[in-house]
Amino acid sequence: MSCESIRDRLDDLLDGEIPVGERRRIEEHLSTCLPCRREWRERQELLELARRLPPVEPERDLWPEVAERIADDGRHQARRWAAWAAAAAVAIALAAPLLLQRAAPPDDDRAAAPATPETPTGGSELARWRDGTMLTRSDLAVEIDRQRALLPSGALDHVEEDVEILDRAVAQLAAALEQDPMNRRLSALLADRYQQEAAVLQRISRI
Amino acid sequence: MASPPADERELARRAAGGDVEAFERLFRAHQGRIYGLCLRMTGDVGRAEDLTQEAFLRAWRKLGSFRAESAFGSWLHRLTVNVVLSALRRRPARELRLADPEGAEAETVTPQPPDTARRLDLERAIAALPERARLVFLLHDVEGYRHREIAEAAGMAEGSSKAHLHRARRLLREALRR
Repeated sequence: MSCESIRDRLDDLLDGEIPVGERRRIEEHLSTCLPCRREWRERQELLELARRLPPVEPERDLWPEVAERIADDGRHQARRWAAWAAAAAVAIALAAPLLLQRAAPPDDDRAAAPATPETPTGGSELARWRDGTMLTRSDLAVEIDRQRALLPSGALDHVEEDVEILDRAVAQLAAALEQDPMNRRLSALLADRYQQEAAVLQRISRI
Repeated sequence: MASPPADERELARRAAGGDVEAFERLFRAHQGRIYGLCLRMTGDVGRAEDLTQEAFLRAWRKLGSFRAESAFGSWLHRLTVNVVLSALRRRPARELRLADPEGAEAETVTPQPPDTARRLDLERAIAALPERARLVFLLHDVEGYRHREIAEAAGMAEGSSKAHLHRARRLLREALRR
């Protein structure tokens, strides 16, 4: 191999990208050719020097501006949370009384057709809606925990109160359905409730 | 001084929960490496300061996606590379050349012991490299990225990454011989 072809391959040798047989030939050449050996050593030294480049401390403290922007983020986030807490409160205030009222259906509902025939009422569909709602709520809880320190006092209380109202409504419907598992209207209402709750939670998550 | 990784995972967990003090400790531990990366990639002190702050702010916002089993430093480092590359892509074409490598060096050089002279020569030579060659050299030889990763991050072919690296090394060797 000529010196020129050897030098063309030195970077690949440095990066370990040369097949074993060719590497042996290059190494044999390097052991006998001083100029190529110098060139090889020079490349190794450059790489070693590059790998040892130290961190560089900035000339001024960069933290105060980062902290200020984090605080801005927090204030902005707090405004958004306050807005969605208010939106959620309105949605729940509108929906909860109706749901609570529906939780005690008249006796003849047992045999009656559901108000909305297309509403899913089977056990597996109910479970699917419930699981979907729980998943959304779990995602929201993670986000609330993450933002907890940034929320203004009171905003989180509103959210938690609202979610408690949702929980109570669902629990009353579920309890009524347990007492009367054949009641199709209760079943339809519970499925509908899960959908509404999931929709509210998803809207909250997006705000 | 960087904290041990286990402590950093705990700090990252606390920061993800909104603990700004924990995040400041992570900032202090990593700012030298992150600022150094930004400075070398851009060759501009002011821009490096902005990008360092941007990278940490982005990290704060994305802490929820940080996986505790990985090292915080590596996660932050990759995030920073993306921030810098993204900023360089947005930069107007007229700024594509490094305006004043000597000026950039003058800003960063503080009194050094004599054995760092060669490193400073290298810093100066890196700052004077063409931009793509500089980025590839820094990511490959300084930061240990593979060509495939560089190609993906910088939006170039693997072969181009390799060609830029070989060119950068040649230019640096020539500069260091002078």
